[in-house]
Amino acid sequence: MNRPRPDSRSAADASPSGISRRRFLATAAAASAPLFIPATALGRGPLAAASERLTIGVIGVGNMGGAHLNTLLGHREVQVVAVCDVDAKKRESAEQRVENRYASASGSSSYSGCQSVNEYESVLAREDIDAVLIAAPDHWHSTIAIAACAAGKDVYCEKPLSLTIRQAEAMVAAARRYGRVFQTGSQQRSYSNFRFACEMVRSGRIGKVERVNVGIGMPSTARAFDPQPVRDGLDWDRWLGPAPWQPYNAERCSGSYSGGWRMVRDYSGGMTTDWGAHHIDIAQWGLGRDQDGPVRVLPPGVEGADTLRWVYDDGVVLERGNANGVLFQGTDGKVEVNRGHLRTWPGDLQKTPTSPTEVNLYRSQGHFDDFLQCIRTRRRPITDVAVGASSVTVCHLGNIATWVGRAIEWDPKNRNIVGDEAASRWLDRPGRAPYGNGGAA
Amino acid sequence: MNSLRIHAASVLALLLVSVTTPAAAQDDLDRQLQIVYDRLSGKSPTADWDAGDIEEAQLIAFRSLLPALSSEVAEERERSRQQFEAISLHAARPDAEAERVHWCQMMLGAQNAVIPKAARVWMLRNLAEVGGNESIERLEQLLNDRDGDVRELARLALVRIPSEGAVAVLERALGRSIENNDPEWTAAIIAGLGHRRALTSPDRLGEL
Repeated sequence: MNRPRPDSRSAADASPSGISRRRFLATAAAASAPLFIPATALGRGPLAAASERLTIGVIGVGNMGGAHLNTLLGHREVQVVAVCDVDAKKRESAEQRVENRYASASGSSSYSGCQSVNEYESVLAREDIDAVLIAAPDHWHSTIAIAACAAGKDVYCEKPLSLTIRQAEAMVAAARRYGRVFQTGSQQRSYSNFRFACEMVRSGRIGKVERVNVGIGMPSTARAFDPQPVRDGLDWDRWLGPAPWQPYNAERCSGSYSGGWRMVRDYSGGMTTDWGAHHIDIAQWGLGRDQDGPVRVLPPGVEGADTLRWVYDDGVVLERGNANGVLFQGTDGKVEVNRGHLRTWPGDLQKTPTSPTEVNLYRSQGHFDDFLQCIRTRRRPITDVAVGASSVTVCHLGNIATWVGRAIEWDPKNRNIVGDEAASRWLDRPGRAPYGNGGAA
Repeated sequence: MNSLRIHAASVLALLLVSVTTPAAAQDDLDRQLQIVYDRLSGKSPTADWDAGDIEEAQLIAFRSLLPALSSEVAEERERSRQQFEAISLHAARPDAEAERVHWCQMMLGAQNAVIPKAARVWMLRNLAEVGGNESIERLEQLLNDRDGDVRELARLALVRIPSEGAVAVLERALGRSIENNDPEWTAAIIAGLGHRRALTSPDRLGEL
């Protein structure tokens, strides 16, 4: 049987600092009345007073940011006060949605309390904003998130956390240095079936874990596109930001979930990071490996590996493919989990809820709700930035091994690739001037 | 000359006449080139090759891939870039220094006005991934290139190449930039040195 790994989180993990915006709201609520809609407009149930409401700026309002915006607009504890996007059409549409929602909810004919900006720096400069939700493309995550932490904002950052391993480390350092609550958007940890699956695995119900399969796609590649005229209203130079300059092409910056920028290596790690930030994140949780990671990574075709493989120091193999979601295989059984199902072999493994004597993992009441709760308590959320960094590191290592076409050795303690200088260069990428390096230095 | 040399020589001969090659011969050429590419990118073994074979094969691969790096057809451009990079990254594997240096020297030699910019740009990005000491001198010259994109990619390559020589070049570039009163380029160089955690001229920063 596996020895259950205790959950690593504890009260000692709580962040030290408090919320600064209260001062602003307490003194300015009356004076800024037109900006603050009645609490009754923000949801059902007990009402959040203006002084208890969290003000949020949403940075990046494309597909994911737009979906988050819908959630935020229905949340009684939250008021969206700024939206930011380098695409004027998207940000103006988002601004309109916010103002229509708040006008409608308050029974007014109009509402004008949402700022719409092109530059994220304008959002971070506002002292009256408590937190930011970052849903820009991956290559912008670290630059914005680190600046947000430095500006005293709590951060909810979409997954995958970063474009490189060193950027992820810099994000953890910034969150700790500035005492910020930082939730990574790998929301499967907040779903009860994923938690129960991981609790069963960590409690030893399938015996010693030998293999984990994850249903994730392929890495991004160096794509080539034909130049096109930049579409009206898009700040193309800023869309590229720290990534190497390239001419505009609609597919290059498309937010398609299966293509577009997600499959271009300058902006993303492809499906290895996009889905890995979900399923590899769950694999790491189930294995109790948030504090370290694999020691060897083999790309397909190397040393007999027919698919991408990660090997841990205890011999456990994490492997891409052959799973509908995440499949844990142990000496005494199997657990497969995705957003639609939880299956076990033998079938009765899941009939009994986790007992108090088994491993009980962090119970989130919802990924965004958990973030809000942690803003108030100053505790670390369920997918704290360090967890997001650990999971995305595993994803990035898979990509690096694939790109260089050979096995790589990873030292999880010192966080270095061993004995391969060219592979090590992929741990980070310097950024294009003047947008910097993503905060990695 | 061993059998590989003969094979490489025949590929080279086919390459030289490929402009007027009939379709069937072109297919044959493509197949033979793919064999060379697969070996140079580690997809098939090169244990039977000596250093001379590898240099010859690299020359063939370089000459055959170079035109398509700037092809007007995006699919061709993408395919050749990925193949080119696979060879770069395999050449930079541990314990293959001579192979890496030779490949880099060919890329550096092609950094001139005759080569289309799209190809130069891709090779500069490859030099950032696999270049070493052999690349420093030419990259320093390219920091003064007339083309701003080339200058920026040379800067990024120097930031990414983990040699002290690269840091020294960036520091010299910082001095020149300050003297030339070019604040944007100065900021870019400082950012690069910061990325390397290698800014060794705090006094110079104090002058800014």
